Amino acid sequence: MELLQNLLQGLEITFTWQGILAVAAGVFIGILFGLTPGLDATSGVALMLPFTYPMPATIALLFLGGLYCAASYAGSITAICLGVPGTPAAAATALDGYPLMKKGRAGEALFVSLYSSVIGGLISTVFLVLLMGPLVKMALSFGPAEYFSLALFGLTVIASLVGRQFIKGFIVAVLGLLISTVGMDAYTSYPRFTFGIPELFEGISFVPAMVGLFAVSEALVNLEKLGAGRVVSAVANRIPGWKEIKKLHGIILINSFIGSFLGALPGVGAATACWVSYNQAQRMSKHPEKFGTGILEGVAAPESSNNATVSTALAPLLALGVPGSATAAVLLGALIMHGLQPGPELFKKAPDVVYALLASLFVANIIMGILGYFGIRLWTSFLKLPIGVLTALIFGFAFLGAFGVRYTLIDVIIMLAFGFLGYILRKFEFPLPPLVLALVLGFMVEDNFRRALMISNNGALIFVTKPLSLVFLILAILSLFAPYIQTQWAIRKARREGKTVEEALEEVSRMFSD
Amino acid sequence: MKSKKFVWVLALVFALSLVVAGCGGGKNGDKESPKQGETPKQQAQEVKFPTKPITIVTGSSPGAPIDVMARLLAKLGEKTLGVPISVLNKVGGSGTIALSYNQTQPADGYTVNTEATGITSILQMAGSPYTYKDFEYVIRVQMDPFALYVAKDSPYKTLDDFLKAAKSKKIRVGGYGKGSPHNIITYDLGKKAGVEFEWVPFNSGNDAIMNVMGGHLDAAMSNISAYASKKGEVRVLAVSSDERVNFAPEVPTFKELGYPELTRYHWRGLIVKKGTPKEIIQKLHDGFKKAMEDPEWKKYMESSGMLDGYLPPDKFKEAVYAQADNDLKVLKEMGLLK
Repeated sequence: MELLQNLLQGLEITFTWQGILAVAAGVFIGILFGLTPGLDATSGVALMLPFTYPMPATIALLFLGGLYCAASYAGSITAICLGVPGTPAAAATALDGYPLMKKGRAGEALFVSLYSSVIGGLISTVFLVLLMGPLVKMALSFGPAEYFSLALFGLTVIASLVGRQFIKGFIVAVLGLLISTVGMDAYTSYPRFTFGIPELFEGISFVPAMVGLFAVSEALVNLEKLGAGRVVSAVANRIPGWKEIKKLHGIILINSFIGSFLGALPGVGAATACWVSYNQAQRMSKHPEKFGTGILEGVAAPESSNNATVSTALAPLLALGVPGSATAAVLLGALIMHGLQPGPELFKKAPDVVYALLASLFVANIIMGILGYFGIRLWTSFLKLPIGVLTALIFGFAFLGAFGVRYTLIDVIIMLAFGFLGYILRKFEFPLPPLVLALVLGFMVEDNFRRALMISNNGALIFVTKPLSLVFLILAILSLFAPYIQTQWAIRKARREGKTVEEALEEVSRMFSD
Repeated sequence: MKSKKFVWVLALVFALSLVVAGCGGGKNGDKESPKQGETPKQQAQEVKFPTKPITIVTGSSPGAPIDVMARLLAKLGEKTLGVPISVLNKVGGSGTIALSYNQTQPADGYTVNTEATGITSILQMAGSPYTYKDFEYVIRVQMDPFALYVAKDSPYKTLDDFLKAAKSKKIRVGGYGKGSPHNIITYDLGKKAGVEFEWVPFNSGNDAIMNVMGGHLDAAMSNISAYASKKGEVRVLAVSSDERVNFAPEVPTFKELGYPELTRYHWRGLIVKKGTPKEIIQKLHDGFKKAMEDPEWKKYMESSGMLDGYLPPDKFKEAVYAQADNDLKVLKEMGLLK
């Protein structure tokens, strides 16, 4: 009851004109940041932070909270329209979103992405408000062994992404793992593969690398068909009906839970959650072979999950002063700057600020839904631009995004290098997603593996004697062999239906050929 | 007709995003440029400083603790020094990028860097382009004593329990980095007590404390400021300050427990390039010292759990050089340096 009362008071603060204006402005700017490849929620909040210093603490937090939510959503817009994820969290969305656009169903994909994001965000906020304590306890139960097994499980998603391109997929994944070893080795303080460049001590910056892989390589591919006029001949603004949306509710719900859960872990963020969810949706689907060909499920799963990480990432921050994501770390700075020390005492010392922030997260998601809805027509109109203009825009934004985060030229060089790498890989038909996934998780796997072994006195049993770790290892094995098992099932089923082995195999290969 | 309208809207969106994204960069960029034409002429007429905007360069990203300190110092310093002060984030290379930037600027006091304890260990590592001797020390600003954390239900109720246990079994202590100040003080504690700890590096002190709270790790060496947000959730066995800390009076110091050699601080301060005239350093010091008397500064210090670490230029330099000698010795013993 007390909670409800506090929340209502929080809503009261949010529903002043300053409050609503702050949230709406945050959402609007957040969408622009999310849209731009390279700029995401973290850099958005960081870049806007200095402008919030003169504001009162509550207003500043409402603004930044809105920005965080919206930037986590808007990466999907470019992922769908251009095949270029605007943020790392939207990388999985491009897998089905972009093919949907090519089929002329951009409007549907954009609407589903928005709808899933709003629901994911709202569910995550409910989690945060009602279950902050248990969420933090769960986060504490993750030690190095658990993080290692979770990351390993995340890596096995590659198996489902590559389909029949098994060998090519693994070549690319190993390349990604190799690249993720660049940088100062935290255990010996020795720089690895940095070629004496101090800028590389902290590793290959992930965001510029991703911008290069997707945006620059896409633009380079576009350059080849400059004369072709437009990207697609017809763009439909059609928005899916309630019946189609209703079918997605199961997926959205499950993945909102997955996202909320992963969001509360300080070591895992939206960039991981989107892949885990995409994998989950595909595994549980009755027609896994259709994933990647442009179906709405493939958009709903990662999008509900990545927005669900937003609110719960604030749980360890508010409860213990430990940020649950890179963006939450910047918000921690905002709190301190305004003289607020997070932790159990914050709820006693400044309940108005805390509950206004919690309440505003509900409001931010709803405002995001409204602004996003009106945006859909605008985004699809991008696609009516001639390819030349579109390509120029992509190049411009890519440079902006790569340079804008840290203002260092090395990030621009990384972006261009990865752009050419991505272009070559595309030309030889290597899949790009395994590379991105390996870059996201490579460091996490290695870092936690070594740390866990230090703790266990070099005994590898630590990974199976810890129950949570064991669960993720089993999931990893299942996930790794799932495509094989699915194939066997299909063959058996075909045989039962009286087909020859050749026919059955043909059917299976058709299943994975897209 | 229709498509024309769309192009306009798109152009608008593009322009808007450029403005939004460019804000941070532009702001920093503007203030950087006038410095280029600077001549050493002004230094001769020592009285006139500062006459143009000052840039505080920090190696951490916006929102990180040291960035928060820099921005508040900039805001309050504008009032006391009378010129605009901007903050430039030069992130990367374990802080060496920001220091390299400092070295490329003229030694005129208009480029001030934030630095912390790590300068004496990181800059002594192999391959580091500069050493702590390439800088002048303007003012030490904050101190954050080191603190030894165990779980709140841990069997180790006192430092004594902890060290006794360490004699009979291997105890793992985690904390930020390898060869870091936290690593060094843990090593020193073990040496003084006649035990050996296994050091487990983490990406941040907070990560290590979370692992202690979750029962994955025996203890963590972090800073006392982290305790401000975790009171009641975790136990601190000892703190490395000279006297007990105001907001955590229940925590004993290493000194009173019989380890006076461990009285040392994680600190943050402002430095400039070597060769900056003494008068200019003094003016910078005076300006920032006055800024640190502002009530807003006091409030921030309290909420961040930091202690006042004020030291004037000469004392600051002395402290850094002394610390560097100890670090060098320990890093060699630990086998991290030859």
